Amino acid sequence: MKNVIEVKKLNKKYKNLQAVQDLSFEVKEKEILGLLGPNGSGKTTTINCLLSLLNFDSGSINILGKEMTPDAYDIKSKIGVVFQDVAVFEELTVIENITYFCGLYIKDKKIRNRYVEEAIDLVGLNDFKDFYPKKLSGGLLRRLNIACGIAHKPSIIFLDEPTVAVDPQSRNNILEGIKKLNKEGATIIYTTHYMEEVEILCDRIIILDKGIIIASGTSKELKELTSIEEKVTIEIDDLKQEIIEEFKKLKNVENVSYDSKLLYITYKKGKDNLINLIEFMKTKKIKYNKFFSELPTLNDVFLELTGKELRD
Amino acid sequence: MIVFSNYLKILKQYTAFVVLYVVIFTIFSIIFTIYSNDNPTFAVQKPNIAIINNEDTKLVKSFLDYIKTTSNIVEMDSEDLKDALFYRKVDLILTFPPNFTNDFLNNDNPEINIQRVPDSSRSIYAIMYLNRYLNIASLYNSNNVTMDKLIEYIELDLKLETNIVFNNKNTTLLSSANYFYNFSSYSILAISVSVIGMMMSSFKLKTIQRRNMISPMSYSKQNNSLFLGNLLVTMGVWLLFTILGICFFRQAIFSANGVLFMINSLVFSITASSMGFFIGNVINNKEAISSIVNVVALGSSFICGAFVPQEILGESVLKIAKFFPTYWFVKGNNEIVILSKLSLDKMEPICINIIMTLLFALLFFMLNKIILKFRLKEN
Ligand SMILES: Nc1ncnc2c1ncn2[C@@H]1O[C@H](COP(=O)(O)OP(=O)(O)OP(=O)(O)O)[C@@H](O)[C@H]1O
Ligand SMILES: [Mg+2]
Repeated sequence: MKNVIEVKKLNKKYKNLQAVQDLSFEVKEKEILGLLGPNGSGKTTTINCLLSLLNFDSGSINILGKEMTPDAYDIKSKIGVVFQDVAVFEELTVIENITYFCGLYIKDKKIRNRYVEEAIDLVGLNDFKDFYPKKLSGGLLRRLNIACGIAHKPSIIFLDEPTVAVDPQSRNNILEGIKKLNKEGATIIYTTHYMEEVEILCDRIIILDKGIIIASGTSKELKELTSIEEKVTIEIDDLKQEIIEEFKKLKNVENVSYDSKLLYITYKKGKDNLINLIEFMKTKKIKYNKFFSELPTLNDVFLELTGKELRD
Repeated sequence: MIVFSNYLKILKQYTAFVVLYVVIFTIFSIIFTIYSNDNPTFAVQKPNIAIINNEDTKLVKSFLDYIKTTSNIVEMDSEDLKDALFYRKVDLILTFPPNFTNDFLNNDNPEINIQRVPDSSRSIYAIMYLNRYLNIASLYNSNNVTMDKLIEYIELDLKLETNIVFNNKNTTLLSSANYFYNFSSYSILAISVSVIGMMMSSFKLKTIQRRNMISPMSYSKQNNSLFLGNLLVTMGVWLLFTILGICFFRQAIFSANGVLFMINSLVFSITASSMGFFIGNVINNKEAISSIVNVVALGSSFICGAFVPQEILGESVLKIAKFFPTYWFVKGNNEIVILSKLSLDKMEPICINIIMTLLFALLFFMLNKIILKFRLKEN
């Protein structure tokens, strides 16, 4: 598959803060690429550089085979952006807002009106067409923000944290919509600091921290980077310190902690970890209420690579 | 086109606001006009006039007699005259040129030098009366009559109108128009600055601006559309007040003075809209804009003499007022009202005031450019 975006050695400094450093990556046609990183990791900065909204210090950006510049209008006509901050006219209704922003791209009225209707359909704002933004809930407002960015049917779509502070219902609607746009042929660049979202949505993920790419690949590939096999949580009413020490001696156990009746055990890569654990508790006659195990998440990957949590 | 049509769409939301302003303004103007028509208080107070004249011709004598009917002629040493003006012992000093009578009869348009207490309504009225005499005189003079005949005609003409001298309809109407236009500066300023300020703050909102910037429509194209929209608002506001002016003062408006009033208010409207453009660019918060408009429009109108005559305001107030375009607009109106057919060549003070008003437009325009540059560099 060919690359629709190629970024090479992108550097951007704000006064004395290096917001993005030597960033190189590409986006393949029709994929959903996730840019995952905590607050302030440089996601928005990267996108703004890509869109020529920001001057950068060095590096090159090619979109659709051409250098991206502020007056590359032919490239711009194929791009759609959903900004992190909601950007709509308060004086215009839902449908008027979408019509205006679509109109910056689509001159033909008939086609425009059809596109606007389709966008409204996509984000599920049919019942709110004539509402003013002030009357919309946070989630609906975000949906409007998305519709304004994608109504003109762009082939490349940037979405910058479109689900921040959104209720679960709207979030599902948004994620479904993005999948649909992708199925219809759009290439998507999606930034977020929610790892669950990139896991269900993205074909490929780039993890950013402090403006540097610390890892990239599919979710599966990334998880293989971690040394953790699984994490186990067991609810035990009363546990003596000496028994906790014994847990630590089990095979492949990396870490054990006990806090308010919950015992957390982290396992390194290895086989039969859970079978061994249950055997051990049977022989020690330890009574437990609940028992569950999880596979590593991207948060664990992030934790291991940077020594801190993805979300604070 | 989409940007312009969007401008109109948003503009529509301010219609009610504009209508409200215009209605309030119209009511106030009507009250004002009726009041000032019924009470020619300023006119009744006789101005004090000092005269420097070396001629003793019949024409001069007749003119002086005419002046005596409407003013007190003050005898004074030429030494003391300057001070007299300063201490307002006299309102006007008339200096006749050496060969006034001859030049006048030969149609050489001799110029009577007038020094006056600035911004005094008494001196303004006095000049209007003087102009009346000279206008009539030049009217009959053009028919090549002898001096005696000329004087006869003039005095006859004046006699026919003596009763109206104190209540000359056109004069009163013109001075009402003066009040009307001075007063309109507040509404023009308030409407233009709020509407254009709000419009600009909508379009120049950082988030919206970003969205416009990534679109395939060029920045200058978008700005041109916005400029067109603002121009429309400006012309609309101006037209509104011009129509009102015509409705109220039909006779007075269709004259040289009326046209000048219109030009002056057009220039002022342009300045007001550039101010709105500037404020909208600087401030993106609509509540802040409307409170700033209230303070700026109301405050400046007050100290610049839009509501009360400039001569009533203290000198220190007027010093501050000079930093506002309203001051120059009002001053321009006050100059326009004393302009007569005979002294059309005395356009200078009017032009100066109009140019000063225009300079403010230029200033705001430049400030805008600087701010936009600054904003772009921020990134
Ligand atoms: N205009 C600016 N001037 C100075 N520093 C800035 C500016 N914009 C962003 N930064 C800084 O650059 C870094 C990267 O910011 P950026 O907005 O790109 O992060 P982000 O990954 O989008 O974060 P978030 O998840 O909070 O949106 C942050 O430390 C931020 O404080
Ligand atoms: Mg961001």
